[in-house]
Amino acid sequence: MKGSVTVVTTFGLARTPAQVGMLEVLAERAITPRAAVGSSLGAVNAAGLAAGCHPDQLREFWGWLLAEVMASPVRTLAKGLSTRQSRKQVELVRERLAGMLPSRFEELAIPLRLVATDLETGDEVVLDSGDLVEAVMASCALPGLFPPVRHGDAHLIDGGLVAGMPLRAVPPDSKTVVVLDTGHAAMAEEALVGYRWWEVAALSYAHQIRGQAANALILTATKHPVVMISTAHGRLLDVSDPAGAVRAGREAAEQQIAAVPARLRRGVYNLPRGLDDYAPLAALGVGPA
Amino acid sequence: MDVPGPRSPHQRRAGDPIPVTRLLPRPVHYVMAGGGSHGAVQWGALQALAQTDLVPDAIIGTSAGALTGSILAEDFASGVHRIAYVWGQINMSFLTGDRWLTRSLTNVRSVSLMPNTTQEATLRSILHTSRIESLEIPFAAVATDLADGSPHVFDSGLLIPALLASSAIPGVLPPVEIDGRRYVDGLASANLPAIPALHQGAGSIVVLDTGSRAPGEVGTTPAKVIGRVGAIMAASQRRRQLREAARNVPVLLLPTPADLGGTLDFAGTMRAGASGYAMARAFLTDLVLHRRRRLRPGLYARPDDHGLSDDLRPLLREVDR
Repeated sequence: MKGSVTVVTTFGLARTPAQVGMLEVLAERAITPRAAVGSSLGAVNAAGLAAGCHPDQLREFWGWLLAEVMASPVRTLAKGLSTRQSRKQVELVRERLAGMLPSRFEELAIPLRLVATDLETGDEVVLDSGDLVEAVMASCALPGLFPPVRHGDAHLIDGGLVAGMPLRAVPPDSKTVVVLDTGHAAMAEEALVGYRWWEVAALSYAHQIRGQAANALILTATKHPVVMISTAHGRLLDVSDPAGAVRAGREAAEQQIAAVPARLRRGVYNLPRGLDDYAPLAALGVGPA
Repeated sequence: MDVPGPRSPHQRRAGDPIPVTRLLPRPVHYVMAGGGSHGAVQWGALQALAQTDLVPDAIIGTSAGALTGSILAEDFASGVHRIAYVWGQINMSFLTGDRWLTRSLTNVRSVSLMPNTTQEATLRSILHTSRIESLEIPFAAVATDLADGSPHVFDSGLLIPALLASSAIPGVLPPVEIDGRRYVDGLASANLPAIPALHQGAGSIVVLDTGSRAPGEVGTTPAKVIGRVGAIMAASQRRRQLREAARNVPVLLLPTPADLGGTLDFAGTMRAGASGYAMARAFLTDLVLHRRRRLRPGLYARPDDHGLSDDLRPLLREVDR
């Protein structure tokens, strides 16, 4: 795999920082993105990539977000449920993002498309122009963490609800699509032991998102070569170790990029466990599983 | 004076069943969607179906739809009456038992807010068959594999554990362990299990839905947004199931009333079932009046159904033309 690619970042809750490690490896291998697409918390990384942020800036952002804003699931939810508290949180995040990103899409180094969900209709909304920070906030407005973002007449929330893997927003003229997947890879069976009720609930939502991802992946892989880089390291709601997540992302990317041949054809490379049980999708898998 | 003609097809006599069977390629699968208390609305459409000559070759259901479907599969002739009776009795205490608040507070750190012992006792008092394969009509319940999120179809084995797994609301009721794997509510993978029915080899599918509602006024307070999340995700998954099924086989989407009341309003949903009956009966009559030949693949539904999104419209076949 060489040359320019379209990079897609998925949802991933507390595992999203792993995408930073993956982006580092892509840069080291001289795989240059010519467009970025992001959804949910992955929108931050996609925007960071399109803006040409240094990985350390992203690391610092995630360290701060996970420690300060998403500290514990129950406390986060309690804060998110209070309108006043959630407004305060939003201002903090918005300031951080504004310090890191340019203010408009038009000032980015490469084209960026972010996906959000229309709260009223449940439709997938693609944001690719105008106010960048607002768009990132809309795409990652996790219900219970941040309030919806007003956009024209609509209210937008987390794109992960309808497109955790935002493949439908991939520009049609893309060649190779690289998916940095921190949410969909299967969890190891043992990891389920000792789960708490809120983790079971969150995991079930993650499963719904995965069904949508399988569908989107089928549609995309019939048109483009899709290279998946995925990690199942850690728990979706474990916010204690963003640095560990970045390391896991690096390791996953190094191994999985090495497994991809130089010349690519249509299909899915490195189909992760957990998505490989959808027969129509497994049929599109190429290369070593 | 303009008097509309009688709506009875051909020379039907009062009480004759509506001849639907000739239109549907076999095997005919009933697909029962889940929906918590809104599952109570399905008795109306089932009553209308009971007045046709149709006997399903298989029933597949998720969550509340699995409970209703298993009662129907246990004894088809008395099914609708038992379903109406059961849903008339069920309320919140079916899941929680007494003192649900104190109980859930003591479970804050465990795998679920409530145990499923009350639910299990209620199910055992309703159903008398122990194994799925001994039911009168082939039946399957859909649950979600908690480890990898795939829908799992229970079409044999013990009935009660499969029903508990199919309706184990994530976080509220505990995951159910069957053969070493853990399962939660089928709503997380296939709340309207049309694709699983397709995989079972359905020749045509009759969908018993749990209400199609126009999106109302949407609040943006945090609690209201969280409330919307489930609905948005369920709707996007429902579209996928219907689209995939309607591309391959005829799918009858029986209309359901829009005014089901709140999430925990069992009695209000029961009452809405009555208008569900009238709507489903009119739908089936129209279908029989306007169609002579076997149905081809497509989504047979009322065009004003709120559950029809733009991506489903190309598959829509209107019943009355």
